Amino acid sequence: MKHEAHRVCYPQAGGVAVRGWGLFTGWGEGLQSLPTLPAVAMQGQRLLPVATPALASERLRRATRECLLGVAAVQAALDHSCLAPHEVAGARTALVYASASSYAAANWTFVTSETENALHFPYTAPSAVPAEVTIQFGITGPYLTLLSGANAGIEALWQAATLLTTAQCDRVLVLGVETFQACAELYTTGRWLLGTPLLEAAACLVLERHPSLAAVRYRAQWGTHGLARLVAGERERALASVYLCTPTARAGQVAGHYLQTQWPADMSLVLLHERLGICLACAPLIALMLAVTAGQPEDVLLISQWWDAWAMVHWPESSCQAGH
Amino acid sequence: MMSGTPHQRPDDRIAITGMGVLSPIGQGVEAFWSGLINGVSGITTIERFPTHDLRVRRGGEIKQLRDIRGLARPLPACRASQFLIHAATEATRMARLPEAVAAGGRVAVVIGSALGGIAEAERWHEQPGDLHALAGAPYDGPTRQLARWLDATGPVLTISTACASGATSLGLGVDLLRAGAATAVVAGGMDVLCRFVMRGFNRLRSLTRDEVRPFDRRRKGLLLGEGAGVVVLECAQTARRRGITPCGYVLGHASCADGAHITAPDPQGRGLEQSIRLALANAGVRGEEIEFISAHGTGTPLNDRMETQVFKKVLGARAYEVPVNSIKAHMGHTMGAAATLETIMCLLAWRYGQIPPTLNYGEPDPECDLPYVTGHARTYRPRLSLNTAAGFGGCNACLVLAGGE
Repeated sequence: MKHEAHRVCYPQAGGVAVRGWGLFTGWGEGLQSLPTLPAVAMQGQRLLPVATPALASERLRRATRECLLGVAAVQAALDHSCLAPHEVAGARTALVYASASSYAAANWTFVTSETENALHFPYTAPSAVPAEVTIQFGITGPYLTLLSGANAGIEALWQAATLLTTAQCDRVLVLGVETFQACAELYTTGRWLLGTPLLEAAACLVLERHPSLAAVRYRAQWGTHGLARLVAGERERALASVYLCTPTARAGQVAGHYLQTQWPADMSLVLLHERLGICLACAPLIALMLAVTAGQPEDVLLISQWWDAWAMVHWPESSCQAGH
Repeated sequence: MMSGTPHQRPDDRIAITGMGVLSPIGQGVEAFWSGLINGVSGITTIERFPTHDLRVRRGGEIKQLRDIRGLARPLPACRASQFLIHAATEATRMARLPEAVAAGGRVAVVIGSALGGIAEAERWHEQPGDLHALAGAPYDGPTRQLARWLDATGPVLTISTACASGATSLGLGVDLLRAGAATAVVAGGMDVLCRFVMRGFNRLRSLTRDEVRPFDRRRKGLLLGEGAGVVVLECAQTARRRGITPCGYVLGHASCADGAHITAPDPQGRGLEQSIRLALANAGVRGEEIEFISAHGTGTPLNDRMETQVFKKVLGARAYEVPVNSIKAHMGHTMGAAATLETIMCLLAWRYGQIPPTLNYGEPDPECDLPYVTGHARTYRPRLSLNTAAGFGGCNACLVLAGGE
């Protein structure tokens, strides 16, 4: 029984390519809005709120801020991928949604309100954000919401790769939304749960099957020495970069120090909390955007942490991505 | 249309080697089955929190949690976590999972829920000060508690596809095993009744003051319930090597979107239809091979009509020969737990050669004209079953299940 993992049933039909993305954060729109000196820019700030998109749609008049951010991020990703909305309508496009916090605003408002609102309650469901996206773009393909805290982003990338390599769809939209503003007081009270500064974000990647790329690999580890066990089998691999996504700055520093001892000095380590702020499940999605933009020829490793859990995806040949 | 798993070799199948149940009609698999077969109703007046201001004050409430034998440590305070631990303890003991863990197995945990730990947020709001209650309030709080309880070492995932969560979580567990990310997966669904959800459904006026009557012409809506269903998933080959006889198999799965409405199901059932077709393809099973359907069957006018139409669309004339049931009238809609409990019911139907009845059915609806199992349990041993589920946000899921053999 010891560590005998059976790779069965699913054909491994190549890898996955990033076709494009959309990004809104507390820094602005797109990757280019991210600051070059984030530590200076973030100084003294606890929360970097993202601007609520103004979407001219009567249908979305009741939608929450999180829903609007989700729809806007997907629209931006389609634009970046040169895809018209009708090209993602139907059963051959999947939507995988990841979030650690986006349901909190609607839930907390409903918990603390004196008078219920029938129109509000449906938006307390975490599936409300992806629901509005599927309705807006007519998506009826595979559909999943992952809520495993900050690790949900990594899990979403793995699940998207699984859906593509098993041919359950032709294209996957991986969407992450993280918001904190409406519950800022709550997050401040519970600061031991999350580090600061918190960065609000909505990020969407458009992924497609790519037969000549190697398969995306996923691993996760729970418990003591989780990170050490997670990367134990990775040391021999040639990597361009490791992107580390942790929910607190302290965890990031400790884990970053450990990872630097594991790989040669020329391997680049990017600490997402230093680069951006803390944006939980959106961090791995933004990390993949940064990796593709960097255009390095080797593979990259994305690692995230949430409480006792560590998760990673090994993404091959980041320079071969962005095929649009 | 898809490659999936067209011809699964017996050793490649994903086996269910343990099952655990906590439900309003019984705690434990055998009590649950007895309640289903004997037509027991778990619907009572809700007593655990105030309901005086609600239109409907009934539901499938679990009045008292039975003690678990041989616990090494106290249960966490969070009710949702307690539910999960109850069901998981039964499932892991049945699967002899502790032996596998001791031998170095990588155990993953995948839990689906429509509400997560929201009851803890409610508790914190009522009695502020206990900051630790907040740690259980996120959706993933109860899953993390279970992972700690089980000393899991593999992936720990929380999903929410609303009331389809209990099926999607099993599907994700299957994917983890097929990807080699774990050697065993403890998967399932859970939800607890609380004022939050009762207030919400009260305002939506989805709850009935009558009985829940799936597929009946007089059906007026649903009632909510609470519970947990947990299974242990392993590759059949691993189970065989460990000397475990599987309870059954998950042959295929899929979860798809309606893309139609924020709460109501698509009247044409496009997402459900796509889920069933993908799950059948994933299993390598043809529609005409299906021998039993465990329907979502909430007892709402729209859902039951839509589901009936979809079954006819996918199975064609065969739909009129396949027995269909819904167990929502026994215990209410247990939300995230529902589809896992129904999966367990399908495997027990194979084991015992009986299909539990759909309670409170009396008047046929011309728009719901399939061979529903009503009145009493039917003697029948379904080898291949479909289990369908749907939820808010246009979430749909389907599992293709096979009895153990």
